[in-house]
Amino acid sequence: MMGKLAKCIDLMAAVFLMFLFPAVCIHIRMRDRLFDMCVARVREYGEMMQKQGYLSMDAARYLLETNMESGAGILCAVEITLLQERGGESRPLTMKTVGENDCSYMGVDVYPFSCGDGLLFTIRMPADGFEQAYYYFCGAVPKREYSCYFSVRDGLAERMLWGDGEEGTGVGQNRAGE
Amino acid sequence: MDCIGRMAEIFLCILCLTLIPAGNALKTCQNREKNAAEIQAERFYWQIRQEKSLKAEDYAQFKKFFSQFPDYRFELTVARRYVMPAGRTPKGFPVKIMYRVELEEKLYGKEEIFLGGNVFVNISIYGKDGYFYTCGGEV
Repeated sequence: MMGKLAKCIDLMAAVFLMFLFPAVCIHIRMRDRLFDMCVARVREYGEMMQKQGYLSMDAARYLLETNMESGAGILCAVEITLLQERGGESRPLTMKTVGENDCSYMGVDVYPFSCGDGLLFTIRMPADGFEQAYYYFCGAVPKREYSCYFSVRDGLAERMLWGDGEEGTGVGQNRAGE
Repeated sequence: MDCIGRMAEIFLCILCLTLIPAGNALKTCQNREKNAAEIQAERFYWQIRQEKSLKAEDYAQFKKFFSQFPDYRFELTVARRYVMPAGRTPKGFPVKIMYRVELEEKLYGKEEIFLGGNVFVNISIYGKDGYFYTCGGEV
């Protein structure tokens, strides 16, 4: 009886050491890489927004829509929150906020920023079942989270005020007619 | 022999179930510390850039943040480029670099140091594990 139990333990340990543990490790490493890729992609967008001074609606959809359903490429694996900081106050930028305050710039719908606006991105990747199992004996699952901060250099709002909005270009025409 | 083999198995299982995940979790926490330091540095640079001055209050906050993380230290440099009048040959290198110590001395008892134009700010973060991050640019 004891011999059978010992053999059973041996078998389970072997299966765990040879298959399960390496498989979970590889899975976690792959998710780490996916997270790094998402961070790099979000940083690209952040740098673009910092230089251009606006957030295009396409980019907003890609970044801010509930990514799980929209089929947003690699970004569907992460949750992205964007905070706009202005004058010491910060407010979350959601698709609703962006949609309400967008305007047309060179024929593209954009959400304009002002010079010096701070953009704080927070990218989170929730732990999946394998990760929860991997960290089970540690008591807590460490969350993958990365933040990056960009400050707008050349805001579109100022450019529009300084007469960038010439007739015919469609610049600075607020959707709400303001 | 069976007993030794089984003990080795058990030891390996314990290692795989506790020590390796714990090491990974620790690494994740360290990465988040680094990320927080990067965010602080970026914010501080943009504060300097917007105000075009180094404010004592902002600097104190930045310094206080790093005092909470003894594994990291920072260096702040301000480089000022002097434009020489036409026809005059500059004596030596026309750039003056002020390091953290000198800046702290200048900031002592003052509310801010006005930086103005032709100034470059650089903030570097050094970790004990060899980590390095730098940010900054023209003010």
